[in-house]
Amino acid sequence: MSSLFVLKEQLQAFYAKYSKGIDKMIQLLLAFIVFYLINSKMGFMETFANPVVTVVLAVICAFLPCTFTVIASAVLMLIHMQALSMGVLLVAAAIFAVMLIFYFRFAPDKAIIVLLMVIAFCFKIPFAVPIAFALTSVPTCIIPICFGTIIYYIMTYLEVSSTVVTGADGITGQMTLFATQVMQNSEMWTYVASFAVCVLIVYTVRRSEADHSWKIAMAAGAVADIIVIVAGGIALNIQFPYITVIFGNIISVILALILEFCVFSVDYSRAEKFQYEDDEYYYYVKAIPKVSVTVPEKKVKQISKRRHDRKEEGEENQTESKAEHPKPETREGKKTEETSFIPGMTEELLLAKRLQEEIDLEEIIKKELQDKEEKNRN
Amino acid sequence: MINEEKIKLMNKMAMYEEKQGQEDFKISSYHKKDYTSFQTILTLIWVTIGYALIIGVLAVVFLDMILENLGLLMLAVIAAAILIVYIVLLISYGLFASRFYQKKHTRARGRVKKYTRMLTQLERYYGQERKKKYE
Repeated sequence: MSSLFVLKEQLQAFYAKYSKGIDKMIQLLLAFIVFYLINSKMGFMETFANPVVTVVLAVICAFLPCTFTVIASAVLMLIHMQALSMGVLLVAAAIFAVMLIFYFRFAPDKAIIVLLMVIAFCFKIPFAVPIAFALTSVPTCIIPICFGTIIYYIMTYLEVSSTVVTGADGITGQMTLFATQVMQNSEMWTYVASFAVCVLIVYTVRRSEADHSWKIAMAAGAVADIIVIVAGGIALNIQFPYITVIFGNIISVILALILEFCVFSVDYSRAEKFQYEDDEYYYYVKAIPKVSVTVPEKKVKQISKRRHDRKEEGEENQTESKAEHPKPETREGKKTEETSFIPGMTEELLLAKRLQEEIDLEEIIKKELQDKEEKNRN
Repeated sequence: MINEEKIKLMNKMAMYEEKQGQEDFKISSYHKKDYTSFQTILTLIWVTIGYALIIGVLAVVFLDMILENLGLLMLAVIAAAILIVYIVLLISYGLFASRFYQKKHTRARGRVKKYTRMLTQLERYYGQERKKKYE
């Protein structure tokens, strides 16, 4: 577990170092996925459904604020709808305008949730978004989650029944058919209800003071999701893909656990409770320490030769090979030089060198002593 | 010689100017009451347009049902319901928008005040530097 925390710290350090680039990459990826999904599901206008256009649009959006990606997605959808039918365009434009007027005017930064919702739906894990945002945000995120669900169902409906819409009589007929099919879609409203319930439950439980409240909240949210969908399915007589719903919830909980690990890692075993009072209140405080791990510093030991040493050695080797009878002294010197750079033996060789120097010193002293003795004799 | 504190201060100021500065300067150029009432009126106009759109979409959705049961009483009931919901929506959004923009103005004013303080501090740094130069 501690190695995971070390990895987390390292990832955080990495993100801090390259945050600008990583943010742009994420934005690019998000924009590309959204545009790709829109084009693949409702690519009625061939010019805009082109992959090159998708890439170019995504690149442009990567360099602009996130809100621009949302606006570009809405415009792209409207362009495709216009190619299909004017009636569809009018209804969809009215729905988008209502979303903008009633919510995104006040919280434009939450618009990204709509895109995340559409992506999550396409990956069959729509439950991940309500659980994740209920864990990290406020209950008002229900609104963009509902909008995202509605937009996904608009896309799905147009993907499946575009010919039915175009077959209707006149613009009014198309409008009526499209609006009826989208707004009276029981499956969509069941999902909306389940997400709303999920967000409220997860938010309430995770704010409680119970130990492991985040994990309990995730589990409760997933169970609530499944229960509401099953109940909706039975009450409204809809055939939901129950296996996908269950597995989607399991994957969503796993993703939420990863999110918890990244955002909220605390050590419940070291939790402390305090109680004190002042003139007006009694205080019951529970303090839970955060898990913090110090990343071990890497020490790089340079044991390879310097470049000019290598060059000198190379030159010496060349002269050595050319000489027919090399002197024994130089040979020895060569040997020590060669061995002194064997990886992993540096310390031993240094010790040997020092010993050699000491021996040499001893010899010099001995010689001097002998000289003195000879002088004294003379 | 580089004054580290001055650089830090300038960095903070530049970051603020780039992030929220432009909007905050615009907001704080109004009086709180003027800004709040103007934005609330604007919100009410937008809500009216949005409500009209919702009614339009719902009318399209339930067109068949409305045409089947069309009568004077039915029309009166629908009109009354639409009006009541509209009034409720206007009041609730009006109150919400008023509080929202009041808070927004207060926060923006606070940030601009902080920015002005930083500006004064920066001016002091420049004054010190000028003094040193003349000495």
